[in-house]
Amino acid sequence: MTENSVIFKGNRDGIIIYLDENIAYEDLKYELNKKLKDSSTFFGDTSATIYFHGRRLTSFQEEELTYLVKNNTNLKVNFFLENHQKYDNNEIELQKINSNNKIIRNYKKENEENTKKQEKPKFRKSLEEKIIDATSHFKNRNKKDKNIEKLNLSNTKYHKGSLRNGMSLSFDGSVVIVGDVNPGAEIISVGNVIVLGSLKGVVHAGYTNNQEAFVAAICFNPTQIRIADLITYIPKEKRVLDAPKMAYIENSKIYISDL
Amino acid sequence: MSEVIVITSGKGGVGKTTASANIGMSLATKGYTVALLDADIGLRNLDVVMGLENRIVYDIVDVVDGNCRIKQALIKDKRNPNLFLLPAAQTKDKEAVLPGQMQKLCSSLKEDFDYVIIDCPAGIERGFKNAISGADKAIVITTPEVSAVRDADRIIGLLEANNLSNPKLILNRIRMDMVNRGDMMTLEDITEILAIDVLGVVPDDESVIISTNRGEPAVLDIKSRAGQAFRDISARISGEDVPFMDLNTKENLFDKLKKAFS
Amino acid sequence: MENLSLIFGKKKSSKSVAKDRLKLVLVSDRINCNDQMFINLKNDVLKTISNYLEIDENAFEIEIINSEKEESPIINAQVPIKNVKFRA
Repeated sequence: MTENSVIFKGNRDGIIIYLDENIAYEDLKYELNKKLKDSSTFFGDTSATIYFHGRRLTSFQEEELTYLVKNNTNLKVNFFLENHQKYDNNEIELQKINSNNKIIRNYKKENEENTKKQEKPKFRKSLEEKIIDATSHFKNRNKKDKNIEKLNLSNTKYHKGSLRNGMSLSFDGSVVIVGDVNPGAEIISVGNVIVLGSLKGVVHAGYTNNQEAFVAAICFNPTQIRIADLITYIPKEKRVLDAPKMAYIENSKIYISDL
Repeated sequence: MSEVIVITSGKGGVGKTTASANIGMSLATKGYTVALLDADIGLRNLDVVMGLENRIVYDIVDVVDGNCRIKQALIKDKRNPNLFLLPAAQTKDKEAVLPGQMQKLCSSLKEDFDYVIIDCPAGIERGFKNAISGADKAIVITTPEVSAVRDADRIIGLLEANNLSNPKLILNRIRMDMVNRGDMMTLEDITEILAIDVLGVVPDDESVIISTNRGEPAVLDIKSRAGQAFRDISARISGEDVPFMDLNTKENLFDKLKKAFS
Repeated sequence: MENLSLIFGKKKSSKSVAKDRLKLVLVSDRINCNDQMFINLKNDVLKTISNYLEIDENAFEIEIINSEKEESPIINAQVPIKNVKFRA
């Protein structure tokens, strides 16, 4: 029966739409449309990440189905991810982006505080946007993808070399440092800051008030870390030298977690 | 080809003046003609460390103001005819000289000397700017202390921004007993942060204080280990390939010679 | 202790050498830096000499220099005499 050809499953990370891979695409479309109409009040105005799962879709099909979701619900759709490997009721595992185009993130550890939230934490959405954006951009380079246009791609400045004591780098966009940031050096970015080396200076991401910005470094040891309008530092007891970490805002606080 | 080398550090008290005196004296001993230039106007010290303080008649400000010729201001060292000192002024301050004037002065000195060694004042203001304006190369001195290394990093940044690329490092006053206990940073710790080539490492040595007391640079004392380190550094500056001293032994050159002849 | 060493012809301890040199160098620095004192000195010397001799005040010059021969700084004065004021 076609009734089970489209199944919605929600969890704290988003909504997964299971698509039957055997029925005809047109039937699938019809089913999805129907289910969405029936469920639109249920979803309400939430912002959610939608995952299509279970069926290979062409770009065109993906676009159509996305359009259906957007049109039939008030859901604010952030992006679409297809083909994740595993799904469990309370956790999703994505693979980390590397050159083979796999996406990893194990949300189990970091999500312990968010069990009550239905909505996906803002920071993680923004991170996913930027990471996924790289893959879907790659996939769709010959096609204009509306999703990509809607994602805010910031300008990124790539700085090769280290920043010494006394140097200050400000940029109206994200910053990637291929080198170290020594104590006494300063980075001010409207967007995100990534240091492919040791971060020991002062960093301000998301200047002045972009709560979605993050800071990441291979050796994360800043003198002081600032994101948007929050400032903090790592107290001596919690300092771990030479560990890769990232910092982001969650619940109006700056969180630092292992990469 | 003449070279103007500025010896700088950022932080005060890490050994710029000592290094300038010893490197200058040592290069002169090797046969090179050397002009030492004290750029610390208002707080002159190179004259005292060299033991030439009562021979000062004219100083750098007199030269720059045209009150005398360079040759009148240069003090010849009685121990070595290759070595001359151009003292700083004591009654003026760093505003008395402009970077352009320093550049001109260094160009003139280059005509008559193989090496011009400039003792840079501490800080990053006018004194520093003056001192580097005539230089071809820079040496950065630091001690193995957090504050000194941090300032050295700043200085390196400023040097590189002023076309004095590839400054060389002298790590001064290292104490191997503390290093071995883990209580002092090592050369590797410091080069990891500063990321510049190493010219030499100088051990903390009482003989440096005694030599300053007398106004006799430590390189003239065969028993001084710091003196030996500075002699090696000068050799490297002049192009020789000298292996680094073994800092873990307490032997000095005198002991080694004794051994060799016993 | 120091005196004994001198008597027996031993070299002075480096710290005594240091102290002596430091005293001299500070005298020199202090004189050179103390402009007001110098001006007062010049005026007083001029006044005192004028009590005995008529001198050309415009050509009167006093300077403190480090002489190569002496160990400490010396005062060098140029006092052009016009006439004697007192006769014995």
